[in-house]
Amino acid sequence: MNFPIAMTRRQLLSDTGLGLGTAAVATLLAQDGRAEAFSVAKNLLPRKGQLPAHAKSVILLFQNGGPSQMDLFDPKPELTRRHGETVSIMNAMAGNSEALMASPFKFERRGESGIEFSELLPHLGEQADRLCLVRSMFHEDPNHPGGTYMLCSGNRRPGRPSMGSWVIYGLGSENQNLPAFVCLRDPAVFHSGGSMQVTNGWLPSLFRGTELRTEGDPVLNLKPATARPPGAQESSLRLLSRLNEHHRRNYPEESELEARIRNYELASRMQLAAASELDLSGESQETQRLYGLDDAATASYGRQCLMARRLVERGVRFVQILAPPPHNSWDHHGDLKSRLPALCQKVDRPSAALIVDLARRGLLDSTIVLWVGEFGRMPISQARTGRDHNPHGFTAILAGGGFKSGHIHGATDEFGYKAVVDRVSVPDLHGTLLWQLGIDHARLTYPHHGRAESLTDPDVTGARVVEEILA
Amino acid sequence: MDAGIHWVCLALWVSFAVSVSADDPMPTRTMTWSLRDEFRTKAARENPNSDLMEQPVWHFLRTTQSEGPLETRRWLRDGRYALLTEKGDSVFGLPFDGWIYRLTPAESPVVSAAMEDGAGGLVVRRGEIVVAPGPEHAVIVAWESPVSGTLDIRGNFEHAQASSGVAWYVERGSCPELERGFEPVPLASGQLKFGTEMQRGDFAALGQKIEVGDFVFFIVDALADGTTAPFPGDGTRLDVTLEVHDAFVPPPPSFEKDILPLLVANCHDCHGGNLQEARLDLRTPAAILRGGEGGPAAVPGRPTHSLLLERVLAGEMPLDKNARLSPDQVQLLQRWIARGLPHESAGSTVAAPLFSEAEREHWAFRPLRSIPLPSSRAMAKVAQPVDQFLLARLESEGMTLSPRADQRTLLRRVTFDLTGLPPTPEELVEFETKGDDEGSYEQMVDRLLNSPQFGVRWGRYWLDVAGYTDTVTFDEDFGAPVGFIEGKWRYRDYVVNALNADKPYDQFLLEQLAGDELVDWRNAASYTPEITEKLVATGFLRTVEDLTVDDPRPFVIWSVVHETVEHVGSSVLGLTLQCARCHGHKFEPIPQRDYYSLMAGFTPALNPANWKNARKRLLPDVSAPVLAEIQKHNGDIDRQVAQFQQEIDAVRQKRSQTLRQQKLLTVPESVRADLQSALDLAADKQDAIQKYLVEKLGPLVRVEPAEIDAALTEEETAKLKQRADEIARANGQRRSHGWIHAVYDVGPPPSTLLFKRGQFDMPGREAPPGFLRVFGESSDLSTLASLGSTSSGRRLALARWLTTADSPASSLVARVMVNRVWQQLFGQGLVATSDNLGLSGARPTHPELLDWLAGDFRAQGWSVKRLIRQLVLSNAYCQQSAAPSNISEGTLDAAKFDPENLLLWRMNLRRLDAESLRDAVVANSGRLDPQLGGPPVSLVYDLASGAVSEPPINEQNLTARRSLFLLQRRHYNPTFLAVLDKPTVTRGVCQRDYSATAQQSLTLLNDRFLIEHAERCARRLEADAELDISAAIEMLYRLVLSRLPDDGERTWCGDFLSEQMALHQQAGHSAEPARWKSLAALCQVLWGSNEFLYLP
Repeated sequence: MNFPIAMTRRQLLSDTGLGLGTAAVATLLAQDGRAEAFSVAKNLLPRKGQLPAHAKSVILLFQNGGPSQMDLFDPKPELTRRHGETVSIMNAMAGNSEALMASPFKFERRGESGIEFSELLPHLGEQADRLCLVRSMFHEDPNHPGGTYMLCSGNRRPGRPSMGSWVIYGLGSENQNLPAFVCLRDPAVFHSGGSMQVTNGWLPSLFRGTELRTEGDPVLNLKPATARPPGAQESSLRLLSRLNEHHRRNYPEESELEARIRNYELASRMQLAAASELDLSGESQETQRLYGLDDAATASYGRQCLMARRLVERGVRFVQILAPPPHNSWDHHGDLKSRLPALCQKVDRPSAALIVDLARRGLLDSTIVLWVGEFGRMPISQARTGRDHNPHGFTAILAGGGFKSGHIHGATDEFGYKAVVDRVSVPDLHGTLLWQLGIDHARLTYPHHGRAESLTDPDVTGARVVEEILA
Repeated sequence: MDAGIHWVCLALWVSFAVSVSADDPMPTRTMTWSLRDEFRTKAARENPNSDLMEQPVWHFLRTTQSEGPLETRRWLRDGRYALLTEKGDSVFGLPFDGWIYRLTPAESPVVSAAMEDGAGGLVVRRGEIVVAPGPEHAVIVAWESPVSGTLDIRGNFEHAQASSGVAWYVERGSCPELERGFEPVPLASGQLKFGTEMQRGDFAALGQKIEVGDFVFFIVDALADGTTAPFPGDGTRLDVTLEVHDAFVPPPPSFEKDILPLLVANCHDCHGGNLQEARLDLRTPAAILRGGEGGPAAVPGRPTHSLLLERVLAGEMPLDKNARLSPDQVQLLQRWIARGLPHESAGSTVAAPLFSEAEREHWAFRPLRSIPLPSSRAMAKVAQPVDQFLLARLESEGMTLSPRADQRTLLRRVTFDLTGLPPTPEELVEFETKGDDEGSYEQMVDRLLNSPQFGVRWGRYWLDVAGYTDTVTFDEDFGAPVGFIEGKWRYRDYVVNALNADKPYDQFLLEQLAGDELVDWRNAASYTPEITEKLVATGFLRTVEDLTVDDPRPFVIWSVVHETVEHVGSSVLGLTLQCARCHGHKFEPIPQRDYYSLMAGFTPALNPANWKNARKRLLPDVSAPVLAEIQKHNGDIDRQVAQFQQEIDAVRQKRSQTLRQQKLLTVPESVRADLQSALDLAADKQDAIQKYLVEKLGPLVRVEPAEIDAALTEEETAKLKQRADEIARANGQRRSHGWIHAVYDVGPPPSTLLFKRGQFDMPGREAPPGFLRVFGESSDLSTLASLGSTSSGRRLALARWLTTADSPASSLVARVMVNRVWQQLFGQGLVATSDNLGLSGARPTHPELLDWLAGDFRAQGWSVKRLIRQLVLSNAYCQQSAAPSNISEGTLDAAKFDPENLLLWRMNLRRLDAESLRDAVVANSGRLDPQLGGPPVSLVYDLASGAVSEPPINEQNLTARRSLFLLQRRHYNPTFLAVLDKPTVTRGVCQRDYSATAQQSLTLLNDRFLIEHAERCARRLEADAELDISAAIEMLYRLVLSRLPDDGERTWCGDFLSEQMALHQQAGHSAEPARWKSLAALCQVLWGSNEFLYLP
């Protein structure tokens, strides 16, 4: 199938792809080409973008709360040297100005690339040669919801479709038995922005992110809410199918009816498949250990990362994992010295395991792993022991998917406060991700209120593909 | 790493006019510039820089880093300085655009580059220029001479001591360049040391020879406090007067010699003889004056008001980034405009009109005209005029309408369409028995139009378009809505009631846009129902997300204003306005000025200068006198209650004292008196010993309320009970009032400025209140009647412009509404893009029909019910949805020729929307509570599953309200409804999208909501009668599908029930539950079937 924009309306409305003859009237009415402009894909069948694709799927490890770049992956000797000095930097939320605060953690050069990593991230550091660090990310919103919407949807205001929704709108999914865009989270927490992080916005609702759970039933309504005798549902599905076929005889042209009939088949396959496909117990002991499923600290996040690998292995297009609890986990306004290590312990090993595991299964080349929070943190202290929000400079980590490896792009100033060299905006990052998936970000559009909307809105944001980080 | 780019500085460039006129051709004279005087004069304006500027004179810069050791350091002169502007991306030769507004213009405008960094700053307050160098930066005030002559400089630096001292320098030099910096000639310097006194350093440099474009720099650099590093933030006030003797004002540029060549080289490709983009012709001064769609390209004498310069400076023009004008060229252009566009010959090019012929003649913008009914060959198939149009078009392609659907199908179709509910079995039987005549259908239609449920169904559509939710503010977090919802639902009820009452659409719009201006609510002694209704109606203008309760930053406030304007544009006019927020619309004939003119209609109410957040904007639903009365009444009750309470307290206090005296006797006598006096003191009055006593011994003598109760005499107990009863009675008489989310003017109308690139902090020219000029040039709102002092009347004028019959705008308004109604009834609008009837939208499939309907709608009193009636009584609506099985000879195979059914050769099959689906399930199971209105039903949130649901069925929830009365949130719809395509609401929803997903199938199979309702439905059937299996199947088909099963279906369903009962009995259920559980399973199968999900 072609890319959505190139398809005729009739092809697009049709889930079946049945040939239906020439849509003569539609052609007559579309003489000026305008009606065609409103043709868009409304299914999840796999399709290609306009460009050669380097990657097929995305795993977004979203680090809610805003991890501290100068304590994790952006070492600042100048900050250490001038610890305690007052400079002209204001805390974004607290609104005060405190002294520069050196990172209490040590950095070490890792791998052949020699990229420096904090001692808090021994496992991710181990993967240094597979990572591409963008140290010059920036945007303008200093608060969690705005920052989260920015990272997830390219705009600080809520309500626009999320990155995952755009991707599956553009590319559909390789696996029709599983949702195309999956969100994994710890059931104990919804971070700031809530399910808005995976919203379809004004894209059709089939492009919404679906929550899967790593324990119990993975999909909502996968099983009947109240138990039924064995065989009862099969009997229901048989009757349903009979009635639907009976009804369909009157509407041979209505492909949507056919689609719905097939969706029941899919749903019943999902009921069988999803549970087993997503069952982690089939994974080897070694793999389970790799992700830290044997350790209370890493087990929950580890399960999500392992599930993510299983999902992309099965052709799921976009997986988004939210940070482990508590609410806005990385939001260390105080007590950074003890809270940051505790959280890193939960996240570091599973994140690294995901990259190792994808690589050894030959999936890393076709999978983009993006590890990023909604912003970074301040080089000055907050209440002496923490750090405040900082959208002016933060780090994004990319792995696989045709991105450079063992590479650092861009830099913040000497304190890690602002991105100053080779700055990368969030729309730039989004556009680059889409590029790797074979999508021209300026051309993946959806008509909304008379405007051809896109994830990056390049006319307004000036988004560009950051070719410097592509392998 | 390059140190120079470590600090990407905020910078601001401010420049002001000279204080004398430069227009005087006198070649020599004395001219004076005084920093303080100019700022004092101009800071009083909203934006001094936007007025009177001829060319930039004052520049505010800072260095990007210091160099050298502390004691000897100097600023860098190698070009590493930045403008003190937030947006600055260029340096000399260009005026600033970074004037920053604080939250309210009541404060004087303040420019502060220190906003983010806290240093390296500049503050401009009326008549005072205070600079504050940072530890790393020096601040530079530069004066650029617009003339040549002999210069005398006199002034002083005054330093307010806070933490560090400063060094100051006065220097003269040529124009700095980014690459090479500047080479100054030192004129004076000094230091103001760290100390406690205010210090002043005077300077004078006389007799300096200067040329046009020479600079004088006034530099302030921070010094140490004597111990460590310099501290930022000290204020140093600068005052300076520059006097030029024998000033020579350079002659004005010539259009022919200086300006035309640069226009030809850079602009005429797009704005010249061949092409006039944006209708702008830049070939002659006259054409430049006339301008294009954005207004005049230049205003003589006012470069800052001149679009031409504005675009060039913003880097927007020329479009080709490689063809930027040089600073010298910009200066030329600027001076030419400042001098009044001087030229030698007038030129004779005719400028292009604001709008092209094609734009004015766009089908949607044309006034409605009378359209004759087309003739049709098959007049027998014409039930309504619409049929004639459709038939004529079909016949022209050799097609015709399909046969009429059977009565049961029609009943189901029209009942869902008009009420969003399925017909009841009783209605079905009654309708069936009346036979197959059209009269019974017509009666049915009239009955449904009069049903109160009509307003619920059609209210839903309008509320979709309005983008209505019950929440106002944030709705971003999972869990209970954070949004503030008090009384907001009244608007929802207004809409439902208005549709039920068939309020004419023009009146409906008038009330929603300007209900507050239709009634004199401010002076009403008490609110009549009419006043309340009109105020509630304005809730239409309060549907966009308003986060200003939590976040009053200007950009958040402005986004409410912008989105409200755009909301009106898309909901009422079917036009996309938001592109014109930043620039002239690329696709639609909407100049940026028109956008802001339209906005000026709303700024008196949504007044950023006098902002009321959602909470503060709430109006009590009673008049001011009544409110005072209520407050007085409740105040009286307060006093009464207080008095009763006092009596109660006195009695109890007395008893408590007695009891404590008794208990005190148990305390050793030596401390008894001390303890008592300690206890009599308030805790904060006790000294340490007393505190200790109270802590240690207090519990021994503490009197519990129960002890007091026990110690009261019977008489006292009775008296206290009586008092308590009186308190309860008094409290019961309290009066309360509700709230209205209304829109009304707040304070005097502010001037509405056009925002460059849509940014509020980059204001441009003022936009007068007005309408979209594509509908006609006479668009001035201010000429319309005003309501006087309490309200500007602008919204009322706007609403009248939109609805007055024969106004061109009302033609579009009628088309938009007619098209939406058509869309709801036929599945797709006559214009497919019902949110966009502009040039970029789809074209109508039946233009004449659309115009005829719109004209009829407007001429016949804007009655929505009449319009709907007209459509549902048409043969087009009543035709069958199944494709005709046998194609008669001579007719085309319509399914091949027009598979999308754009010509309506059959009725469209339409998916039930989420709400109708749910409401049908609730109705089928006998749980439907048909009540209208009132506060919304709360939802239940499950964090673990992420699911949102409505309250479960239990003893408290035997019935269920219609979906419209469940809490409406922007993002967190009940999961069941969201899966079935109930949209999230970030803007108005003009058209819903439907999907067919596996998740929907899973939901229809397994969701608790359906399972529980199926069981209720089954129990209901069982309770209804002693039904045998066959009758039960029949009954279920009637309920769910509004028809009887055919023989095949009877057999399949019978077999299914036997199969299910066997399975249930095998699983250990006895016969009775097995029977209703099996019936429930059948019910659920029917709800999951395509026949149920698609309206036939």
